[in-house]
Amino acid sequence: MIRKLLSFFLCVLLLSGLPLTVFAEESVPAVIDQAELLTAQEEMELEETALSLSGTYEMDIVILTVDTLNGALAASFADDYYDQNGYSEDGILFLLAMEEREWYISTCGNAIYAFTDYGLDRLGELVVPYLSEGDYYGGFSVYLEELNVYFEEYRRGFPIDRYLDSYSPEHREDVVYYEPKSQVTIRSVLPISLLIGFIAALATVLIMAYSMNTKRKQHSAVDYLKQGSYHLRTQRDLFLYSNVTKVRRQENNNHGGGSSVHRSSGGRSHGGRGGGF
Amino acid sequence: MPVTNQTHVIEYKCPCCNAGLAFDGDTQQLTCEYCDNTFDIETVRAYNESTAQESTEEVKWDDVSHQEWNQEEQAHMRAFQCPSCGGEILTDETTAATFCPYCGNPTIMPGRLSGGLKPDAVLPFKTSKEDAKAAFLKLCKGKPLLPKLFTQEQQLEKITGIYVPFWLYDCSGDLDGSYKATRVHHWSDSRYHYTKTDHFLLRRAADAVFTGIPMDGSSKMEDTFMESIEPYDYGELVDFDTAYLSGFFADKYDVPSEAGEERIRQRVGSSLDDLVQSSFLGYATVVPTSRQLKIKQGKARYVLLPVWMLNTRYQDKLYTFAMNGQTGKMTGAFPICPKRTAIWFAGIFAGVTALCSLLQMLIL
Repeated sequence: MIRKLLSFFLCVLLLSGLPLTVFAEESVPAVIDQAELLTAQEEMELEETALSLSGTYEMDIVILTVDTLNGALAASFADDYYDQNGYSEDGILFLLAMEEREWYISTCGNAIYAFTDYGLDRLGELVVPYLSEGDYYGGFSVYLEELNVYFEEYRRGFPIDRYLDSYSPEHREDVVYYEPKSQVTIRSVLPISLLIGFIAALATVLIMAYSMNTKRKQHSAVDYLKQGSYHLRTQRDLFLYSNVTKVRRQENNNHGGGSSVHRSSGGRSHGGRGGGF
Repeated sequence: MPVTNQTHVIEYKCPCCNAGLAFDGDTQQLTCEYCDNTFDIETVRAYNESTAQESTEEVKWDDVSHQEWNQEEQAHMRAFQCPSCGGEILTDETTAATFCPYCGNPTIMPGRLSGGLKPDAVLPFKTSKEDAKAAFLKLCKGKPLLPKLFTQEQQLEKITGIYVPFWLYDCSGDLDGSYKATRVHHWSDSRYHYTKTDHFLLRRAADAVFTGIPMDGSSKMEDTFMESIEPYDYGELVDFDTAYLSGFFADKYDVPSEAGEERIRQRVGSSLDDLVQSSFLGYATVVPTSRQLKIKQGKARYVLLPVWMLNTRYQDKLYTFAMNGQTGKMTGAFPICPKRTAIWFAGIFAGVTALCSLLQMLIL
């Protein structure tokens, strides 16, 4: 039985590791300048920075400029483009639509957690002034630089977010919160497992050993209480005083912050934020 | 000189074949193992009384032994003559019923249990030697730490039915106590978690009546052992009659009733503590600050209660078990096998550790 269970667990472990190895893919372009806003040199530099970031943080980073959205919503256009062009599960796409003068950042997979609503707002505020002035290369450079910071904080387990209960954007249908994923290895779980195992074994053996000796004194004489003879003559509860202590609440991730998500036409979850410039 | 100027020795003779009779816990009658007859206690007593005139008066106590006894032996040993075979039965000074070492007939020394020493009541055995043996074998089952050889080479050396002298204390206890108690509330607002602790002073006074708290009156019996096989159902107590002792060992008390009072006080005290405890409703902590316990109307009855003692030997060590002769409750200390303990420990340790690691890897 135990052997069967073990082999089952092993199978599950192996299978869960499979997709990573199977779907290792060749890289897709990071900077797609359909609106021709960048020089070839600029495009190459941005592409290089984006790819190196992708490599470091295992997230796809896409910058897309288009002439027109052809009537589509910026959000759906960005989501669909990301979904339909072979990018990985985790990634972030910056869409710039020239005709509509709109920008949109779409996040997917783990990038949703790395870029909270608050984080995206801040990112937008930082980049938009450059775009408004027509400094597209400057905007994208700042954007990529900033991504580095966001990813780094996320990797540390503290995605940039506003941890204040007062912060609550008006329209939020579905909110997800980042929960730190610890690196679980056999080495990290072994000490606590050993401790639990030791305590369990000790407790069991002690209980077993204790039950080997039933030669014990009686605790009380309650077996010999004459029925109905117990009489509680005095029962007085006198209130003396009270004191109050207060402890500051733990700042809670699940309060106010987080990332709003929606579904793209392809059915995938995306986070995102956009606006005009 | 081990002189016995005490009275006579009783042996209940079978009206049919004149062999010694023994009390049987299953049938609650005297049985003869030779002719297989069973007799009511009343019948046998009447029969024995009618024949007693001759038989008991014929017994002449002479100085049985011509050996020199040392002082200590003299002080503790008594000699009786077996009415069946005339053999000399040596007993210590508390023995009230025993067996003749020569002919094996059950023998009773009524002098030990008469007059002021006469028990108020006796609780006859309800279980037999076989019951005791079966109970012991059952108790050995399902004990993973028990050495394998303990059960395999099981040789119950001795199973002895003993009427143990007990004091049954009737008393009332009165507890007057003060306690410090706290009640805790928790609540939170957006910024703080609050904890409010209310402090109280509690006064409690309670009394209760206890009847028949037993305390063994034999120094030979370990008090812990005798407490561990409690309780007895006193509803089955009967007026004392030596006939019930036939076929068992019996002792007279050698510990006065006063000696058990401290222990009774403890037990009544903890009982009242437990009872009063139930009136502490809704408190997070209750700490006693003062406690006064009075025991009133102490009265002790002297009864004989049935106990089976089982002796077994394992690796040259004697292990003793006791069984309540009425309810069949058996207690005792088993030996613990170090090897099995180690195996169990290692097994659980390894198993739980592995399972924990796996679960953590899967869940986290």
